[in-house]
Amino acid sequence: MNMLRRILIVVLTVLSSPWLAAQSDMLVEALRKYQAGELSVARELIDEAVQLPEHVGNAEAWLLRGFVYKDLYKAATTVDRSDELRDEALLSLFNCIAMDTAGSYRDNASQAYEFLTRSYFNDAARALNDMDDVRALNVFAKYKAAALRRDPQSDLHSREIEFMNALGTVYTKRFNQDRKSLDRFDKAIAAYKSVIELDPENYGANYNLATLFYNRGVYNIQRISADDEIPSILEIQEVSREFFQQALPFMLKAHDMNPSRRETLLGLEGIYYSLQDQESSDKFRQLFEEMPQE
Amino acid sequence: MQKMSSHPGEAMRLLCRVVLNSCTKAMRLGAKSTPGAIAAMRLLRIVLVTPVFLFATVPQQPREAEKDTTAILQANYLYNIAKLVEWKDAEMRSGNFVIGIIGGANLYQELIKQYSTRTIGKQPIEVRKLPRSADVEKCHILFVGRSDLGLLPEIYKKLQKEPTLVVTEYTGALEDGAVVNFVKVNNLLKYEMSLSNAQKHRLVMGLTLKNLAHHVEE
Repeated sequence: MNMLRRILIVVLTVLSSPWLAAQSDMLVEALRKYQAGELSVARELIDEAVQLPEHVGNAEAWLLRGFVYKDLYKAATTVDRSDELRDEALLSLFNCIAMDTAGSYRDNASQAYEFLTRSYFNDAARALNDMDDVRALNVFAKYKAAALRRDPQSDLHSREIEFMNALGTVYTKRFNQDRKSLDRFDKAIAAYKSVIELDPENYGANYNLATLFYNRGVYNIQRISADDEIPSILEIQEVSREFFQQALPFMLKAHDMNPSRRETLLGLEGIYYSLQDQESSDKFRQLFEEMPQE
Repeated sequence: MQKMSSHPGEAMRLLCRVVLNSCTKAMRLGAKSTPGAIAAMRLLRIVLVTPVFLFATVPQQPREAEKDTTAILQANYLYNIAKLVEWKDAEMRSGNFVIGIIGGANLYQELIKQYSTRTIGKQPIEVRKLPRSADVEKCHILFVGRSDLGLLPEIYKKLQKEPTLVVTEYTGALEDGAVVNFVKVNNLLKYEMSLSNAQKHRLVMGLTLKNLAHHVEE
């Protein structure tokens, strides 16, 4: 219904302008084709129309183009194609808003623009669910660009934190699937650290970062086999010690932020245990045992 | 992230050790140790160490074996130590190479998982989980975990003439009779060893083992 309403607004607007009707057969024709659902033809016509000197600054023409491309995007079957169409839709709607000094189309154009912007964020979330970090990064960048183009003062802080935390989790999962892919480990670290940079008090990023370092240290030791002799055991321990030491401040921070969480108590117990600090490990073990189940 | 059993009586045990060391030094200063004095010392050790053992039996969730980094390291150390020590007694150079474990459930699991199909020389490794008792079967290596310190005085006594390499993990163990003791140094697990205790059990510690030890008592 909402879409129908928008279309009608566009139709009425275009047809109620005698000057426009007289001067822009191509635009009217594009509108007719759009109404008829002939999106490909409508696109060709509107693409041509917005190149014409009389329409290049015409907010109505750009609005129609935005809607045509938006519907084409929704009908697209491939990811690359849909992104191209969505980008064009966003650009057209943005042009419409910028040219619409009277504010006649602003609400419709803005709603459509926000819908498409939001769809990029949703696609980023979907890509993370599918563990597709490349796609997620790509569409999240598009989301940010679209939001900032509309309003350079947009506060994307919380969205960025949300996304980077989820991205860190994806990299962690992918690293856990193949521990030899150290680039995934580095990327997970970078993702969580970027969250902490934006929000030092972010519990999830601190806890996840600590766990990531800790697990890396443990994994290093788990790889010890009968073929390892004492000198290599010492070397392996030294490498693991660095990971455990890197884990500690983040786990302590997470614990300070939320002292009643059992997971951080157990985390600290494990880190200290692996750092051969039995006394501290026992202290956190005791606190863990005393803490009621969450 | 991980689970473990711990040792809440550590402070008390350390206090016991201070008392024990004082007694030991006092005895050494005397002209001669009589059998009665030695027996008294053994009894004192048991009396002082046993309460710690009782503290340690507070039920706790066990640590996951696969995340027990100390157990993984200890297992590898035991295997390497076995390769670098010579048992002078001929009877110990045939049959299975027996590693006995008292306490240290995760260490036992790790030894079974990684090393039970290996050999020391031509002797297949056999890992045995021993009951919590001082009546120890004959082993090449006997590890006694921190949860079973109370058994050690009796174990040292029973094994004093046996060709068994006793491995422990508490401060001052070499003084008590252990041949190898795991120690924590700068957040790393290392080992120390006593050559005189090794000699008592007719064990020859290899040069590499000595060189890599954190501390060697002559």
